[in-house]
Formats: sequence, structure tokens, C-alpha cells
Amino acid sequence: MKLSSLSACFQGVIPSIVASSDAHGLPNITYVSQVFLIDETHVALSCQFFNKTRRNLSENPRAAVEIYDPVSFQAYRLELRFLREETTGPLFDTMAMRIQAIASHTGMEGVFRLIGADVFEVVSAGRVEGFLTAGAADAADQVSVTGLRTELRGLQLVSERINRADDLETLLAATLDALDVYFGFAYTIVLLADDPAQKLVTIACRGYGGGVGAEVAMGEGLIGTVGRERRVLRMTGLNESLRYGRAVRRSFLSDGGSSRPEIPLPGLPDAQSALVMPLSVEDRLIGVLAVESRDPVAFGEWHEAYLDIIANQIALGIDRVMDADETAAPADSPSSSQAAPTDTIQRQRRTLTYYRGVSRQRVPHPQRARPHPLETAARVEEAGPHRLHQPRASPRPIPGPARGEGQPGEPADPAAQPAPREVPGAADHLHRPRPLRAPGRG
Amino acid sequence: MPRETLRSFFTGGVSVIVGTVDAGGAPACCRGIAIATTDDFETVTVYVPVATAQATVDNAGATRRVAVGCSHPLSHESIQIKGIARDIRPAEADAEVFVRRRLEEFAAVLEQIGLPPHVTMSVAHWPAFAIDVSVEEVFDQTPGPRAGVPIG
Repeated sequence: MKLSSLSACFQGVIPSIVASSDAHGLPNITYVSQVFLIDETHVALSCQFFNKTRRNLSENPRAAVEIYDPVSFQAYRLELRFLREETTGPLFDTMAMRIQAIASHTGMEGVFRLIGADVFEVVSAGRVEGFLTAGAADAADQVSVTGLRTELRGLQLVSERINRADDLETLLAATLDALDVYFGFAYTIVLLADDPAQKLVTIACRGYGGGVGAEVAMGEGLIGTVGRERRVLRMTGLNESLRYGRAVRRSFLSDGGSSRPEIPLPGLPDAQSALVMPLSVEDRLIGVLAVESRDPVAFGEWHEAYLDIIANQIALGIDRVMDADETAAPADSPSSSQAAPTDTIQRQRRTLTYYRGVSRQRVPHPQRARPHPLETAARVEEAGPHRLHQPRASPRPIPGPARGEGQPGEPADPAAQPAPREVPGAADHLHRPRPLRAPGRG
Repeated sequence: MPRETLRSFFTGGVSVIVGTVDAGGAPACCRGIAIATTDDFETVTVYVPVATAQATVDNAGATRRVAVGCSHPLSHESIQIKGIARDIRPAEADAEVFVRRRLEEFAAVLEQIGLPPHVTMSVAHWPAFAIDVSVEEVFDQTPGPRAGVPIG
């Protein structure tokens, strides 16, 4: 059986089980949050705590694992042989990042972390016959969780839109629209990096009913982790992972530990999966693209591969457009006459200053008697799919419950209430940055 | 872990897993459907499907060593019981209602995290083997710093 045909089982939506044994034949059984597929003959298990399974493997390298299809619940068994523990390298980094993101989100950095990636040879793999009743097993055979297969055409169209855009507003609106139409990514956020402030600022989003101006500290939560690590993060079975992180948190707190509150995410309160990509040009982090879904298995490997290509194009597009905006800055703007106008950080900070200003204003600037040409354009666009809205006056908290509130099994913790965050308007909106008069501020 | 919390693992809505090892050191695992105790945890009886638990019961018959994990799916609160298999038999007919009810309770919990009940109920659960396990040790297995700490 090809392990790659079981890719859905390796997404961590339903916890797998692993049995091991010590040298004296005493068995151990436990759940494992994710079995990581390396290739057709190797998998890895994450070791977050020095546990009995880990000790057993040093005495007896044989292990048995049962994994489950997240849609049909069909079970598959793997016979494994422990090869080695990796504590550095690409495999470790990839597995660690997922855990870091959950640990960061649940306030468990340093407590809940990857100690090692335990690599196994897959000796045998097979479907557990009889696990499902006959009728259900037949139905399970017909289940497909493979996404739409128009990705090549979709990629082409998204690329065209990015390349055609001559301003940031058009670029982001067209790109997020195309991701929705051609890839089915209905909930998307683009954040721009503010390196000096070590933050990411939301400059566009789709599907959330607002969100521009929301900030994420670098290294915090899923998005902040991607910003800091500059690596792709694909989280499936997000709720399951968060429940696991909260279990660690409760155990840690009941053991006398202390931690900061859980971080609310600037997105769907009931997201089941997320794909978060760094937007980079060469070695510079431009920002982060986040895609969410209520489907626990929404994002497969091919989504990650294609979105990685698109993310690169978005990053280049943002960089190009910000360069163009800089060149087109009005002559009377101090930003265009002062030193280092093309400096990347300065450009990004000016853009961020604008977006922060947008998120903090509720009414049009009183000194502007006539609408800015772009606002006129915005009103025209309001009837279209990407409604542009007047800026709002002051920050507002994200509407709706933050992720983590009211979760089954999570005790009410007043200290864990989300901090107020800047955010949303009444509908999706995108704002075009204008040349600012105070370069370097914000 | 308080005794009351320990009891919560025997009241339904719990994920049950079973691990054994053969005489050559090869481990095996399977899902259990139900677990019960009639003598306050001195002995537990775990019910495993005949359809999927053959290796597990073969090993238990050969080595007598059994590990049983129980977990609340919503909170990940978990225990692991280790003990000696005292009796392995086809489950009595009058246990079928109990086993099915436990599966229904498990399905109701999984529904809260997105798995439709009909999917959970499609898991084969009868006929079943009943394995009586004389409890030797119980460990806290909730993820976190106390994982692996003996209980009681």
C-alpha cells in the first residue's frame, strides 16, 4: 500500500494510536497527535515530552501505529521500526513549527515544544479489514478529499491578475478574489511586515467582514510564528491541535505553572484548518498570507505547493507596487523628497502607517473637503465584489467569539479573555496606501 | 488524579485503546469499544471488536500483558491502565446492549468535534471479545508535565 495514498490520515485530524513495548515485554499504548509522512517508507512521530514510548523505543525499536481517515474513519495499521531521533534539520524544523504555533497560541511556549522527531522505517502498512461495517466501508472507498483539480488554470489566472495590477489595492483585491473563485479559498488575510516593531499588520482580508489594521506580534500564534520562522505552516485538524495544546496548558497550570492568556486569532472563530505562508522577496519578509477554512481537511499538499507559488508572486507584486507608489509620490510630499525613498523598510513603514491610520479612523479626514480620487474610485467599486469602505475612527475588537472561548472541555478562565484588538469594519475592505507625509513613522 | 475523575473514564463518551505485545516483542494495538469495572478498579473489563482485535487478543493470551488507554476526546484528559489479562472470552450476548450504548455515547462526543454520528456508528463493534484485566498500575496520561505520573 502506498503511504502517499493515505495522506489524509497523516493530517492529524483524528489522533493516531501507537503501541510500544519495553525490553521486558511490558506494552505501552498512547495517542499521538500526528504521524508525519516523510516518504513512502518512512514516517516520524513527534516527541514533545520525554515519555514512556520514547524510553521503550530505546529498548525495543518495534512499534505499531493505527491511523484513521478523517472523513470515513477507516483505520490503517503501520508496523514500524525506530531508526533515529532528529533534533535539528529540515524534518525537525517542519514538525517543530506546527507545535511552536500551537504552543504560542495557547501560551505554552517553552513548555510544549518538540524535543525530537522520531524517525521510523515503515515495515508494513495495511488497511484494517472489518474496522467499518460492510456498507460504511464501501462508502468510504468512494470518498475523495482531493481538492479541485483546476489548479493549473487557477494559478495562471491568479498570476495574470497579480501581474496586471498597478496598485496595491487592485493587486490584493484581485488576488484574494481569484483565490476564492479559482481555489475556493474564501477566507484570506494578507498582512504586511513591520520589522522594526516586530509586528504584522493586516492590509487586506476577504470573507471576514473586515479586519484591516489588525496586528499580530511577530512570533505569536500561527501567523506570528510564520512571520518569525518564514516557513509555510499547514494546520489541519486545527481544533484537535488546539484542544491538545489546551490540555497541556491545563496540566501545566494545575501543576503550579503560570502562562500568559491564549492568543485570539484574527480570523474565523471556528476555523478547522489554516494554511499560512510567508511573503518573501529574496531574504526580506514582506508579509504573511493566511488562508482559513471550516473544513478540517481543506488543505492538502497540492494546496500548499500551489499557494507557495502564488505567495511568491504576491510578495513580488507587493514589492513592485510599493516601488511604483514610491516613484509616483506627489512632489510636495516630504516622503518623496527626503533621503532613502526606496529603502524597503521605510516604504513598508509608510504603507503600514497608512493602514494603521485607516484602522483608527471612523470618519473621513475633516480637512479633506473633496474626496480623494481613490475614494471616488472606491465608491464606484462598492457595488462590486470588493466593497471599499470609509475609514473608521477607532479600533474595535474582533467581532464574535475569539477562538478558544467556549470550547468544550476548556474551563472558563477570565484571565484568558482575549485582549482588545484593532480590527474590522462591517464588510470586506481593502485600502490603498497613499504617499504619506511622515516617512519612517508609525 | 481524584478518584472521581478516574471514575469519569468508565461512564461513557470515552475513547478506549488497547496495546499488547507478542512473545517476540512486536507490539499490536486496536481500538476498544467499551470498558467497565465492577470492583472499583481492581479489575477492568475491556471490550474489543472481534473483527479487528485478533492480534491483540492473541498477544494478551500469550503474554498476559495488557495496556489500556482511556481518553476524553474533548479535553484530552487521559489515563493508562496496565495489568494482567485474567480472562479472554467472546463477550456474552447480554453485553451487546452495553457495548452499543458506549459506542453511541462515544459518537455523541465525537459529533461535538465534527465527526458525524453515523460515521462513528459505522465502526464494527459486535461481536466482541471481553478481556478481564487485573489492574496493576494506573498512570495519568493527559498531555503535559504530569503525563506518566502514577495514580493512586
